[in-house]
Amino acid sequence: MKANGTQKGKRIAGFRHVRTVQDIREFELAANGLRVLHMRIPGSGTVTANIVYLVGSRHEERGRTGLAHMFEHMLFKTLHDGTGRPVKESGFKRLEDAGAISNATTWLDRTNYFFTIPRAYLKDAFDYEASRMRNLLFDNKEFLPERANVVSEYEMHAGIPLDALETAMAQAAYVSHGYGHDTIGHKPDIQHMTLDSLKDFYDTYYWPNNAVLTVVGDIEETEALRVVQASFGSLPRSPKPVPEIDIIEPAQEGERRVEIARKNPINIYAVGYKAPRTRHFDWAVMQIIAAYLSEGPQSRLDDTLVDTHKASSADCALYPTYDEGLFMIVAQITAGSSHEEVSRIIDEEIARLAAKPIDKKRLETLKTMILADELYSRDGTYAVSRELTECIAVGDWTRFYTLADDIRRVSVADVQKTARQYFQKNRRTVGLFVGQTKKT
Amino acid sequence: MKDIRIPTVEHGNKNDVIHITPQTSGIVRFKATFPVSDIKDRMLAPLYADLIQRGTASHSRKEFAAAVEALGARLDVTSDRVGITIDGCALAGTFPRLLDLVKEMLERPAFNKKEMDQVHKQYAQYLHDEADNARTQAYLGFTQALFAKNHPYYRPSADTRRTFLRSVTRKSYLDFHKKLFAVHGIVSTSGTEAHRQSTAKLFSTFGKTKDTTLLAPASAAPHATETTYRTVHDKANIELYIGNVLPLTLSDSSFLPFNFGLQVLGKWGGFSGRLMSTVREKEGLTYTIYARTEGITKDRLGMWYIFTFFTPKDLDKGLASTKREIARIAQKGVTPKELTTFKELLKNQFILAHESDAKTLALYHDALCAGMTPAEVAAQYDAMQTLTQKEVNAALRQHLDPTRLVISGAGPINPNRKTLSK
Repeated sequence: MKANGTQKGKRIAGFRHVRTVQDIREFELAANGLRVLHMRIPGSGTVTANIVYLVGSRHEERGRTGLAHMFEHMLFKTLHDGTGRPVKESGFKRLEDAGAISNATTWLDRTNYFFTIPRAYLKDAFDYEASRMRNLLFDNKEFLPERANVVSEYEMHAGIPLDALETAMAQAAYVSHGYGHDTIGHKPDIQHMTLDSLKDFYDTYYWPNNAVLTVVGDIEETEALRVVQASFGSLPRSPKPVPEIDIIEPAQEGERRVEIARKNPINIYAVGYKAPRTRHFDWAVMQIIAAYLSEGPQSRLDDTLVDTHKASSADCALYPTYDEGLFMIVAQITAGSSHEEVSRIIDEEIARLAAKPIDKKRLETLKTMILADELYSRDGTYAVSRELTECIAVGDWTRFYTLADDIRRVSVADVQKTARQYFQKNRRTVGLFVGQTKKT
Repeated sequence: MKDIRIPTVEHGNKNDVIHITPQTSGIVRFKATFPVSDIKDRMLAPLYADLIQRGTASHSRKEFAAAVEALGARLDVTSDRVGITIDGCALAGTFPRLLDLVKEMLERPAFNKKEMDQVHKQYAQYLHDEADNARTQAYLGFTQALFAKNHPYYRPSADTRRTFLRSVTRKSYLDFHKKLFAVHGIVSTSGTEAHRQSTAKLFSTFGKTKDTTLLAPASAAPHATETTYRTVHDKANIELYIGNVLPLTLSDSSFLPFNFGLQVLGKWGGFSGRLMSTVREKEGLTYTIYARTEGITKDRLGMWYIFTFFTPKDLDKGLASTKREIARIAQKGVTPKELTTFKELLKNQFILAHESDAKTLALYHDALCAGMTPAEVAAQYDAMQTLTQKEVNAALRQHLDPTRLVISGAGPINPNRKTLSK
């Protein structure tokens, strides 16, 4: 990792060059603290403009869950002109009508809004982003139907067995930390959300100094920064410091369990272990462990659960997180098996990881797979922006590059040590989805 | 469109080959599709796609997978409405070794009895679990209402597929394999010229002169109004497909204006379509409501549909709003402003389809599977720019009939109801 403070970008008026790491250069807009990451990918004539707000469901208070996600919806609504008068034709409509691929997503640690556009529309996209950062019109006429849409979205997820189980498991795993509620929020909190609570949240978190803008694609750095300056340069910094949420989850004293019973034909066994932060080296080791356990026909869980027809699928999931998230193992149980049997087999595999070193050759293959997958997945401006978003959210965008370095460094001993450290009963939550077994 | 490099296609006597120069050097991708048409073959296709990856005459399933993994490559075989697709991706340095493995997989598949039993067990479980997927249930109901049982787009019930599964033997796979790779295929590559040549050479071992009977037009006509529903417990939403047979092929002059008008009604993704801006944005009745055509090729007609979902409480209102929007656009057509807006929108979407190598490859590969060359794809986008309001509205009036809608729903519907809403 090499920082370079003497690049041409440093001379661009109004920006401070923060650092350069490989193909990405970071700047800060002096006027308001907005950070900008630029990466040039020539050839396609397209750009992905993506703004990441450092606020996600982790930042929400009890009884006010779902606020971060509600903005993912509300920021597409009517804006005002700076004096409170509604703007009839929003910039979003113009961009949508121009064919932009756009959306927003909310996750535990961040919310992001992006446009993939032909280069000529970059100024339109930035003008709109700058405008909706501070000029959202709070109006019940728009909010109440959108709140109903979010309830519809909630219902859509709640009807999916695995989504429902993961939500219940997170609630059990975290007593105090914001990772304990789903990003969409609790249904009653959504139903009782008010404009006042929205406005309060907006005025707390939607400021340039709480955002990182990524500009990835077929555009020169100087041109990109010029447009950023023109669109965002006049926005003020937040009048008060943006609060930092630093909740220390109380120590867990034993295994926690949850169960959901429904009239579905589906049966699921899941177990989640509190995992290291993504910035930590051990997170790279956990990625290797996830692949070792569930990636492809060579994996342990494929061998012991899928090949033996005890589960129709067995997967591990490890999401990037700012604080300690959950390392999930999920198995969909077949009609001829049981939660108990699948649980026993998974426990044996976990115990084996801690007891015995994994094969060195296998470790090297897993590294090759993970590193190659990383390259394949960075295909195009949107894919790069999506990955950068997660790295920004975990607190260090250079993880975009350093994670690969960590993966290369992982040893057989690291795998064993990490398994021993994190796969303990007092770090885990077990979830059962119990369906009605019926012949269909 | 002048800035976009349109790939060329080589119409071989074995396969058609498209080549794309990638933005990202050092990564090579390919796709090869071989069409499947017969109804039984279509039921076998997902099983075959799984089994062919489970070992060769000289490597067990795990050994074969280990060989691919050691290269850091991706290799996948899938089945869809068109047929069987082999998808690969590797770093330039290891790509020749990936092709060697593909060759081994295609020339000497094991179709091992133990692996076959495993695939069958897993598929039986999949059919069991499918009963819980309301969206799939609604889709099955929709295609079953639209098409006759022998039509390639008819999706058989789980019971039919379960019965079929019991009849499948090792010979079924051997016969299917022989038949599949005697079919003229579509091969696309993203890499260097050398990569194109080596990939084309590999697949030229298979494939033959185009068999026109294989993708022969299958007949179907729009249906009278019909509502079908299935109960899926413990779901909050009723998933819906609303549409009909579209008696047009890509060669029909009405297809382009019809498709243009359908995008104005419910462009897939985003908020530009009328359905999203009214049924969702103004009325708050659903989270998602989009419209599209499906299965239309140069030789074959397909269907158009709207996909959405409503809670049981909002079902009547939601259906009424959706029907109102269908009737409005069928009777009054698109406005001059919508015509202008969507021309710009679709032009830019074509540019954005080239944003990544995988997307570019998929765009042209899928189009050629439907019978359109890259040049024809580009020409179609150019032709959209010259469409008139009169042409679009005439096509909508002719083919979007609000009095003939097939509605298929699945979700928490009272099984004793006579219709979806009562």
